Amino acid sequence: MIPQRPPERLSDFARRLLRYEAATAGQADEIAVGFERACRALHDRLAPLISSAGFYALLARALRLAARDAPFLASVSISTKGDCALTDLDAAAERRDPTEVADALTMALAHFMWLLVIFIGENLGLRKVREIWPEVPLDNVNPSSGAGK
Amino acid sequence: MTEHGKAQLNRLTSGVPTLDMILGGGFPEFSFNLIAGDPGSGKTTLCHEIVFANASPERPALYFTVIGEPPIKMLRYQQQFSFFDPEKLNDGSIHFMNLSREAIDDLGTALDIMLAEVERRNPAIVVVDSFRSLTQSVHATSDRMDVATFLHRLTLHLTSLQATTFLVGEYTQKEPHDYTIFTIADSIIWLSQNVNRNSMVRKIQAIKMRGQDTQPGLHTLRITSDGVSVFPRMVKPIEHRIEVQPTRYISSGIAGLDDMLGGGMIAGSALLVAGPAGSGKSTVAIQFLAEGVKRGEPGVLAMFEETPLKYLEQARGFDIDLEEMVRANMLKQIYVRPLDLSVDETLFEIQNAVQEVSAKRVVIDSLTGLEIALAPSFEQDFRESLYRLIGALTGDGITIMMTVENNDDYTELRFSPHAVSFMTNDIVLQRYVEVDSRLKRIMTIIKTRSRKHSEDIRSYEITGSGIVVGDRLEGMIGIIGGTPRRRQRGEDPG
Repeated sequence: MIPQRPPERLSDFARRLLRYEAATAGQADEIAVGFERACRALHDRLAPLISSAGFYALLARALRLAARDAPFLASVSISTKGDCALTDLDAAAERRDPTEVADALTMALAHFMWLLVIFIGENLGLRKVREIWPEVPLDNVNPSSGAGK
Repeated sequence: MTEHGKAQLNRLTSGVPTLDMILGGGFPEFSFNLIAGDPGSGKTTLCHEIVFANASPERPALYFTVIGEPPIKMLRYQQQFSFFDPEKLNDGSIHFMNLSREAIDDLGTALDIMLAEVERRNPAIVVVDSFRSLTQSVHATSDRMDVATFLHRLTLHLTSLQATTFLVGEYTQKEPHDYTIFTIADSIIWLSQNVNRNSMVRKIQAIKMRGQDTQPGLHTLRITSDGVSVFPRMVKPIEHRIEVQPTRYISSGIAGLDDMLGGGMIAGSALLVAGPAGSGKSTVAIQFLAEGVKRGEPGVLAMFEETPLKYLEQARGFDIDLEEMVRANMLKQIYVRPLDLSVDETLFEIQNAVQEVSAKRVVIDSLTGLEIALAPSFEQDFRESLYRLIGALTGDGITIMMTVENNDDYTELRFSPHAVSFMTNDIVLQRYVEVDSRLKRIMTIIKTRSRKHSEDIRSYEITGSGIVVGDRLEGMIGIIGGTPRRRQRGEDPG
């Protein structure tokens, strides 16, 4: 069976991506902006391949899966107008530690990439992701080996 | 340059060699093709196979997906096929492009987006999957482009950009067709799914192909993990045989039977052995093949009843080592018993086996088993298909022996329930009769073509060295009628 949770290495990669896209990692809203930016880049790259509707279907599922560990994400949705804006995150993340928000969005991003691997395979899915961020090292990422925590 | 000033027609492979054969060499370069058919008939798989077989970074393919099947699912399932090389998606050989809902609300917008992408990628192959979804999703209004204009512009642009185009369309055979595309298309390849009782068989047909000599008719298509396999419907090569070969007699492997046949079988002919269960039909077949191997004539044994192991055991009982013949590449065994087999597939397998060992003798044991193995939809075509098979093989000088189980009801002399006797040159009938409270086996020759045969009804036994034909049943009458009795003094023997 394919593990439902993304492998640790993919989570690490998601964490580095989010850090890369967020201007500062100190504030929850900055982390959210980084997440949205990453999602837009993913959308632009992947929509021609899997369709815009397919992209948002995976992203919505990733948010739902991440909400199992971070229940405050359950009330968060994502705009499907191409801007990938997170709605209701402010209210949901209010009075939460920025680290907790960062961890939750990292998991959402990791879940998204893991879903991509599950559905269309590592060759096809992750290669496209790598093309977006050639400067973020992925060398040690081997998502097929071992599930995460 | 060009041959005799004519435009040179280069061809693109479909990725399926037998389909290329049917198409007359493949798809003409720069042609505009419609891959049409029922949902689930294999249109997308075929298009993927074409694309993966031809695309390269220098000659890329652009694959437009249009609603219909979600692309994420399509990619997920299509990559399970062995021909799907993900590297081709990464090295720029193949580009998948999904046309968004907004883009396809208007055909003019869709065309602009598609042509812009075509200009950008400069592809050698363009696929629109599905074209039908694209044209059905638009709501034609006076200020919007209609399907005919869209098609004309798309054809013109893609052809002038030197792209070979494949449009995929879901059409059922009974619905009224969109004649614009049918007129514009250089080729129409029709795929269908035929369900009969519990079995399903896919078929493919080249309905239209400009500038090429195609193989007409419905050909069987099967989808396996390797993608599409096509089994061409055979034409009758015997009609192409021009030279008259001198008659050459070959031994059946049973001396007494050769005598009864008037000197043996004729090379390049077909013989039918009809008899009830246990009468020794397979034994005759084994001896026929073994005799061939002994004389340096390789054989093919197509089994539709017993397993190969059973044959090996049975032959071993007559000191015939079939296994050794297989090892020595003098015998090829084909064992097929699925219940949705098409005749085309069977013929293809037999022909391949014949080529593989350069066979001179072929056994089909039995027609009864073959008929059971066929999908119900093919049973109606059984006679025609068998005719083609016999024609194809004997046309190549191969001698065929077929067996068939007949109903030994003693009231009717039927050699085959399939009415195939007219296709065979010789017919041997085996039967049980009761003589002196003993069940005896008898055989007789019903017909031979172009030679005189014995009219005897002779007994035979299955011994440790195979079938041994005995004497004529002297003094008996009513044998074939099933009520043999001693002929009385002065009674007419006939």
